[in-house]
Amino acid sequence: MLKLMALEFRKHQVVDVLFKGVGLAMLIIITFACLLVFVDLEESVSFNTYADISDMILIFTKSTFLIFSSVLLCRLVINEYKNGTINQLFTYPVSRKKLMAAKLAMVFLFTFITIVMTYVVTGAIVLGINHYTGRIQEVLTGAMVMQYLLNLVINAFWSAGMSLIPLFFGMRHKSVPATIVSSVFITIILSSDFGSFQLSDFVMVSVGFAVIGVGFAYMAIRNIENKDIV
Amino acid sequence: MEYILRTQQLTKAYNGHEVVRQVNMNIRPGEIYGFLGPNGAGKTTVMRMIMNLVKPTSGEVELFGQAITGHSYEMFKRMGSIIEYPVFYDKLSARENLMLHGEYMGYYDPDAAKEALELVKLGNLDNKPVKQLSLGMKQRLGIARAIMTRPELLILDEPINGLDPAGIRELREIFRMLSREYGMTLLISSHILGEMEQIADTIGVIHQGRLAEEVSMAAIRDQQTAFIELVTADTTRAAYVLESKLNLGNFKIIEPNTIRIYDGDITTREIGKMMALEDIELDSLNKKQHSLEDYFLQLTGGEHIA
Repeated sequence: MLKLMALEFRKHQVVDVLFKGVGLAMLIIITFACLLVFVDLEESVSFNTYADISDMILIFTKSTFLIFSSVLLCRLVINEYKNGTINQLFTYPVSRKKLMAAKLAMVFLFTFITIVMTYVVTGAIVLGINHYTGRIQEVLTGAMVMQYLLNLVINAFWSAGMSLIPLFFGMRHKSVPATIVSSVFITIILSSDFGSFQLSDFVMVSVGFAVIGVGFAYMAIRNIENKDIV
Repeated sequence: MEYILRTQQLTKAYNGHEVVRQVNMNIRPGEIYGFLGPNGAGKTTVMRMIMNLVKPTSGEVELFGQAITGHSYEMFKRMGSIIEYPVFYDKLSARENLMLHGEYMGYYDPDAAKEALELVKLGNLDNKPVKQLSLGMKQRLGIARAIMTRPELLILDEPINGLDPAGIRELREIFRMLSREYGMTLLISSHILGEMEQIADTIGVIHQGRLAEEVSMAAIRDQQTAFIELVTADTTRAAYVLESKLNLGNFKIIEPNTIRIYDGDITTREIGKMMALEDIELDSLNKKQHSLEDYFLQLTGGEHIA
């Protein structure tokens, strides 16, 4: 399985293309977060607590990489069907299930890892700058850090599950736009602000979406051995 | 193992419409099997079923004496294929594509890619992405990929499409070499009769989803009645000579100045000599064969396959 994933990496030049984009996205998120926290135009009341800042960074990273993961999904799955390279792939002495599972696992892990990584890096930078400017007065305890990190891991996990939802829409017509647009929709639905709360604040909503994503992935893999590749 | 590949009552229907009907193919180890049929006859569908890309509606495919099931993969290590047209990871170079192929096939010979490229005369490709190669080059690269793991069975769907005449000839040589020197079995499909005729040991003709005929080339050649065609201004005397001096009964005057002699034992030399002795002037004297094309046209009900 790890080997199959490594081959996918090589085949789709994941390192070359995606990681540049990920780096850029991270940079933008960091810049944005710093601007919001440290540059206040008027005496703003928001982003004075670590909880606020944590939430803000989490929303940015989640939305960004949920959409980003759909690009990876296109490269690994949709394009293989569209370009016909799946014809070659499925003549190899490897089960289709394994091949497909490797691809989807990569998308899942990609979403999870990039969210965690970006959050941690952005958080560290904000803390680092705050060390000098003293913008946030609150004392950060170890327990708080643990709390935020736990929250991060849980959220990243649900997002990783959701990142598989676009598979369903994309595979119907083997369409790249459908894949990416559906991921944008999911992001918009989950992170749209209804005054004081967002849909994704309800844990059950996040869990539900994640379960749907994993369900779609399971459906895609379950019957794959009997599908005709035309 | 008498047959390396067999299909039994292989049938595929899409939406109730049968595109392949009860095909029984038998391919012996080491032979070149020409799979011939007009466009849309079902060649590609049969080949897809052989490669386990398409699942038969009924019937089965047997490879190396084993039936394909939903979970058989090991036999594909021993096969190479091009289905329809070769597809590659466009942004990678030819070499990288072949290396990946080796990894997936579980074939780890570091020189295999290079050797395969040289065999199809693509040895001097640098690291250009495959996207920039011409159709003919891609076709050859596809063959390089199919043969790099030294498979026992090669499945090639229309491998000469898009090649120029020189390229076609080169490929023909390569196919012969693979068969004779490496002992590979080749299943090659084509709608071009002339090509098949030159390299195939056995020909399977598919028409409207049915295998209309499976016959060895040697048998076809024997079957074709040869005749000698004689053109002269003086058919009457010529006929007289044939009948009385050469004792031939089996000939026919088909046009005022043309005689066809169906007797198999007589040679053109003997006829020519006798005519010269009798002082009959000949415009031409030729041995002729019904072309294979006629034969296959018959099988496919006159539909054009050449």
